[in-house]
Amino acid sequence: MKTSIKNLFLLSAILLFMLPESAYALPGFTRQTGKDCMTCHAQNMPKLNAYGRHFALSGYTIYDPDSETQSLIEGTEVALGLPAVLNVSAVVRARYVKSSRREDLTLTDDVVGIERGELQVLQASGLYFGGRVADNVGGLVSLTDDTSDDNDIAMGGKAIVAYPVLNGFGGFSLYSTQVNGTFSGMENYNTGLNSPLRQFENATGTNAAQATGIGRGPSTGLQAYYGDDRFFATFGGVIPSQNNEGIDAGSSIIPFWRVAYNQPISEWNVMLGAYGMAGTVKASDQSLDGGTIDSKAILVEIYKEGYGFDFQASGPIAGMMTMTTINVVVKNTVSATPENLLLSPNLQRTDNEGGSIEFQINPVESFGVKLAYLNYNNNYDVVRQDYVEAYDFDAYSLGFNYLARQNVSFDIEYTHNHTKSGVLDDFYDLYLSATVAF
Amino acid sequence: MKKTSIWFSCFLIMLTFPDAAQAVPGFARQTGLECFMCHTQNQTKLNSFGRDFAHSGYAMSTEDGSQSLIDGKELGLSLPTVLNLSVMLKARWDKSNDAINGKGRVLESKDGDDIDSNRGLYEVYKTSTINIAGRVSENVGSILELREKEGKAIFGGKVITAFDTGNSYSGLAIYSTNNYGPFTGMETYNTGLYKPLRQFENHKLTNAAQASDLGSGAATGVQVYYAGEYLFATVGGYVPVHNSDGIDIGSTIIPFTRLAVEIPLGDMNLVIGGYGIKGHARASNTSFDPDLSGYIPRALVTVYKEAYGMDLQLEGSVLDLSTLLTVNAVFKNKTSLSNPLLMGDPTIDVYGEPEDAQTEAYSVDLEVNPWPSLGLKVAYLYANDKGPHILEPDKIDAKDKHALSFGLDYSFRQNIMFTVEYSMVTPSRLDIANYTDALGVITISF
Repeated sequence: MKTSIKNLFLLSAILLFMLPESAYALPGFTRQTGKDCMTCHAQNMPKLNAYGRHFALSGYTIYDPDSETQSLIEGTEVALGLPAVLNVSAVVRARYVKSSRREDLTLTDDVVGIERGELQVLQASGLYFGGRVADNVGGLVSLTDDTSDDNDIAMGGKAIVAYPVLNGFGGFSLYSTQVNGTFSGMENYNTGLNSPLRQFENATGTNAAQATGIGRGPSTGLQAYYGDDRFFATFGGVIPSQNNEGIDAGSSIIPFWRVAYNQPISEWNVMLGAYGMAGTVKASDQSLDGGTIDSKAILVEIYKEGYGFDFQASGPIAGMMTMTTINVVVKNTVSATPENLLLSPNLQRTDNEGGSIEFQINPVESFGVKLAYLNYNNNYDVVRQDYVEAYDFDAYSLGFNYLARQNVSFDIEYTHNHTKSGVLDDFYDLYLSATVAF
Repeated sequence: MKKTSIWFSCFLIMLTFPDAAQAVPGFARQTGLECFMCHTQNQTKLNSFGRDFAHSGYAMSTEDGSQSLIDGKELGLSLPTVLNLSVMLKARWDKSNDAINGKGRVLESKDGDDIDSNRGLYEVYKTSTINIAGRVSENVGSILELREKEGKAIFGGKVITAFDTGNSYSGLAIYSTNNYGPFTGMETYNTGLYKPLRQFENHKLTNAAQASDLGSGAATGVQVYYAGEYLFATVGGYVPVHNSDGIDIGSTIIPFTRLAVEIPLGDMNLVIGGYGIKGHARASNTSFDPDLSGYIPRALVTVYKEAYGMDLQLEGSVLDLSTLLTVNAVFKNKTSLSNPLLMGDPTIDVYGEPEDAQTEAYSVDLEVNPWPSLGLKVAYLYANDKGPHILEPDKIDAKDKHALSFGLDYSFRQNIMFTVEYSMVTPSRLDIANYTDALGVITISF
């Protein structure tokens, strides 16, 4: 552990505030299918259950053929199958975040930011458009606020072509996201590999894939997949950046893969999975950082290597629904050559690992109690003063989730962080959040 | 943000937005009709019914359609019960060989490496838009478009009031766009005069109105039109700016006109048209470009514009194959600024700028569909930039070229299209080598 408190604060601030695009439950899908939210979600939004995974694997194309309000517009010579309504969802979120971390960025004695206690109303809120697009094609577009000073909004999206194959669906997903990470084109388990699908709001204090960064950040990629009730496999290529203006990566792309097997056992579903990526992408610094390319550009080579395992078990204990998720990030490295040209947080040099276990039990259907333990280790000597993931810690979390309605939820989460550096005192994070999706 | 970056960004936003909206499924939702009711060959081009629908101000009654109307009692209303939304996603892959920027220099990094499209450019999901469109009330329709550009939200749109005058529509359109050019208010032929309506995705290498920067760019204006069975005529005035905060043009505005006649020829329909723009507008440099605020003293700038040309469209069946031939001849497109220095540093390495330039261009585009879902296309373009580019001599003749292009469109669904195009470009300047450009595009509208 060889870094400064400043680095810790910067990291924490970045991790806390860079999740604006993470989709919550999307009532647009409810409108499309005519089914209630909990048909697809387990315990609370946005965690998916088996039917939710099935719906996602279909490319969001499953439709209610008896809907009186949402018929399909069919083509004659060329196929169409367009829903008569474009389903739109809004996710509105309000949070209060307070942390006891001691840092003085103002170079005064003033306590600022989340140390002071920060009210975040509408941060991480957004509009979502999508669902079925046509026969065998679905899509989702998100329009969210962007927390950076330079940008107003962030637009992300994915388009999925899906066909029934064997007992499930096979297809392709072309995606571009600001925050949801490499696997977000098609990943439906709640282990944090796809940023929105996790158990705690405080993602980086509870989940290994989120804390290490392997399951979040800007990504643009294409992946092929097959999935059914038991087996899921996917492989694809990704560029760890989002830039709607274009990324001049040429023929370089980082391959990734993921497999998972789900075994139904009585009322339980037990999933064991693995994932990995290794490869190099080379593009101009300006396009990787999200800007337009001009003749002052310099090519930067990004090497990423990461792999790990995850586990999910869901089912009732004494009549109470539970979900346990484990994620073990065995390795997550990022290197850039030349170094120090890029500003994007997920393109900084990194070498870390982590493990997490999260558990939620619902004594009553609308109320969940959750626990988490996260171990995070950094293996890289810091050279940069910005965006540095350079400290080791253990984090213990306790949380409560209450569903006032299926689409209205309240969360309280408390995380105690035990740091190992000797430089920094232990500290806590407190999250109070309310989320409304409609 | 550095000043140069601001300049570069704003120039790109104003001048080189490379794509445009395609089909608007909100109209399909409003009318209950399939996309190809209004579109020919693929979702990017309008047929005669699509032209009628546009001339109606997108307000054709939904009384017999899928959506009912809310009618007023004492005051007219006739509002659809559903606000129709749609999304257009576009993903592109662009790979060129020795392609150049607006100054004739090959797209290279400062270390001499291939960059941008010469390296291979992934644009996912570039220029994607969210549209709110369709009937607003009786005789009134609208399109509102929201897009993201470099993290900024950009609104554009138009409102049209249209009246059925026998076998024709007459109306008035008010519009503001950062992208689609001066004819945005009401233009329905596929000759590229209105940026979204063209045959090739790679518009700069295939269409004269696009290559000469006549049918694209920022514009805010108003126009009246008459659209009969055989005649379309419009006059209006515009300012080559898109600024929702206001444009202090006083009483200056640039007049424009456009006329087209339709002549049925058996199974074919021939459209011959002409268009012209001439005049000047005077406004603050910070109105023309809000990003200048704080970087340069506020001062009045005069933009002078003079352009005219002719276009032709031949549509119908040849050997039972749907065929569309479009020709555009831009005889002159001249734009000049009274004092370019008031618009900032002119030496920024931008890819294109129409100020201080006079361009002529000619193009022929043809698409034939052997099957309803598959179209094959070819295009030829000649462009000649006469400058003078007084402040930037390295731009002289940099855009002069002959370009031959081939392509195909495959409509996987009516609202999902795959496009592949390949262009071979022969620049006129001897110091610029021939270059090629390959483009793959997926367009999804829903």
